[in-house]
Amino acid sequence: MRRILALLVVALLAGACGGGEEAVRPGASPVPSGEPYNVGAVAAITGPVASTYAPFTEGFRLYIRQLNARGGINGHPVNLVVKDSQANPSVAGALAKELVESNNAISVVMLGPSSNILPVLEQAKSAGAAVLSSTGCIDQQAPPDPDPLLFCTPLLAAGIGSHMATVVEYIAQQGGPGARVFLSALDIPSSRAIVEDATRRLQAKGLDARMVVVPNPPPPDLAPLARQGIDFGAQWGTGGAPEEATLALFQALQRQGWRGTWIGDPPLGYDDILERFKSDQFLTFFGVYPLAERKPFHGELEAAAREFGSAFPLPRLMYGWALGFMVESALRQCGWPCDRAKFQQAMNNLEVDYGAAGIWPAGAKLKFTPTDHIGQRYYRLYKWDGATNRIVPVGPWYRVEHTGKREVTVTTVGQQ
Amino acid sequence: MDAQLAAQVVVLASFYSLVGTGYVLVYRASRVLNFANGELMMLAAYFFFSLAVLGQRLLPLTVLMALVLAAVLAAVIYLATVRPMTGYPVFSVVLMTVGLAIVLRGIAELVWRAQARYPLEALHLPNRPLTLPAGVTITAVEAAEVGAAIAFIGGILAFLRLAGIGVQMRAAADHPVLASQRGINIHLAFALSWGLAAVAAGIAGLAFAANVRLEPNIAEQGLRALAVPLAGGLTSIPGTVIAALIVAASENLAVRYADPLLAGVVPYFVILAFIVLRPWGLLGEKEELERV
Repeated sequence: MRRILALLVVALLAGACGGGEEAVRPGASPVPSGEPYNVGAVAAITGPVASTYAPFTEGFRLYIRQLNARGGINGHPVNLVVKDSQANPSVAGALAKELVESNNAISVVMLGPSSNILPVLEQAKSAGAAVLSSTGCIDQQAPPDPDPLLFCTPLLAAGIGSHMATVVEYIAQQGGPGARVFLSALDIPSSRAIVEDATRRLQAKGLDARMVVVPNPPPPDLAPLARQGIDFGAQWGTGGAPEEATLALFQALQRQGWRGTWIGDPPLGYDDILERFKSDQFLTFFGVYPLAERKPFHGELEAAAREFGSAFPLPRLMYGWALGFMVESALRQCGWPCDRAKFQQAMNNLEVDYGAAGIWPAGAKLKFTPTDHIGQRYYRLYKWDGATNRIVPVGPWYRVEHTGKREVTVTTVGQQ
Repeated sequence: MDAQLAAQVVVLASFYSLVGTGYVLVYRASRVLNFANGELMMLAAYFFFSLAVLGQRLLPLTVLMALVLAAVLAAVIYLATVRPMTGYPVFSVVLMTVGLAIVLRGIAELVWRAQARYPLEALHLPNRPLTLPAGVTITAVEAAEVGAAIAFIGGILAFLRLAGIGVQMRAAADHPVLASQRGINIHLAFALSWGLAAVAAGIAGLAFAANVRLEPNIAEQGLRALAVPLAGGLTSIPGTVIAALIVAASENLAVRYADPLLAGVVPYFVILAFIVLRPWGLLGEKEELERV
């Protein structure tokens, strides 16, 4: 009995903690037969923030699988090796070292909290491999002097200054001077920095903004924190905390009869969140077209999820899928053979036509330069429309671009 | 303290009392501080979610089935992992529960994945705010949680005092050798304690999942609640309830009148205070101190 139990435990742990290589799957399309592009990923697919990063990683994997299934890049498959960091910075660093030394990765994709970026960079840097931080970004990626090997690639958020720029813009436009805004941050450095920045911007625009910090990990009951927002007389709510903390606070506010409007920041841009609340009190920014818009890339994602299997809902896979599109663009621009130096050069001049892919509005592209490793982002606000029972856009797309470390410009790009 | 704050204290104390009772029931029976209590709480909530997804739409039956599954799982865990360690130092068994917690969390991530789930939505049930006298607002789930905590803890106290098997459980906990010599099946009594502990924690888990969300990490809330039985006394259910009220009130007052960040620290501050001032807890037994 003990032996069976021990074997079961070992098997489970191996399954939970092990990484995995993407097999090149034979299909109807030509099977890539050339040497592979080796790409490594350090992903927090288990651990405290897995609910955010595991589906993101899954979307990325699905993209690479379908890319290989349709022939790879000019006959060369992409060999994606994913290793689980459990969101632990020191583990993430060690895995990055392993990826560049043992797996010969030309680049390391980092899918985890921002605290993991620098340990991964430190290890990748020693081998000259570029790091694509794909879920959070830090000041070292912003213009005018980004780290030469560090690139900010997620579409659900960008730098500290730009993370909530659209939220600030929208609330300032709709609320006007004097409007009361309740902002929440989680007690981690990146979240605090993002929300402090947004609070300052709102105050500079004449709004009465108050920030509250949610302990990390969040306590079981956020009602006392929500009470602070109600006592403050908040008409608007928003936050730059991870999903579970932000939504728990919004729910706590709702439960106490709050009647204000919550504007979700782009990392809450998932169809299932709007569908869950079905509330005119909760609107959120998306960094890609939501599934409800049924763009061609949604169909491709759906087909890949059906073919290769996925345990996660489709909306949760969209941003990882968009990352895959970016990596493919970078590898195509790198050409063959592609080494670390060439890949870095490709990233420094990367142009990703997200508009053509239907991920962003038509004509919208993401461009990196040697002095700008964040580039542009496009965000649009969506809400649940009770009359039609569907998700609908609110206003135009916003284009956000960093002009400095925490300096951004926000422009609208018209109704698409 | 205003009425809303008092209501929040009662709701949070109900959660802590239930999870704390889970720790106490296992500790009383097998002298093991079960570090997998939070994971049992989490698994009960996942059973609830899975039953809802599988089409079980009748809420009371879904709750009952989830709790029974959790109880059976806990009893099996006892029989498969704790019972074979009879005779080993208590420290070894406690360490085993740490490993067990890791394995159970891993299983949850493998089976249900790490995404957030919302069981009440699977049942198509709303969690409406209820307005009580004095303008107090709590949700239907929170009201149910308070009711369930009172009913379960009251019921378990009566069960241990009045029911034949309850008395046998107490006897087995107090002196296993003597109880065994009197013909009591002590392993059955201990397995039942583990099962009831899973039900206690499971009710809290179901309420948390229905009110907030469900993901493998909610098990951490169970670990956080460890402060309550440590403060109340590891062998005392009434002590646990009182300690739950103290911890919940401290947390809420800290958030309201000091800094919200203190909410994360308060349970541990309460533990430290009790270790210094009354290491055996409010209503715990002094002779148990060495074991703790």
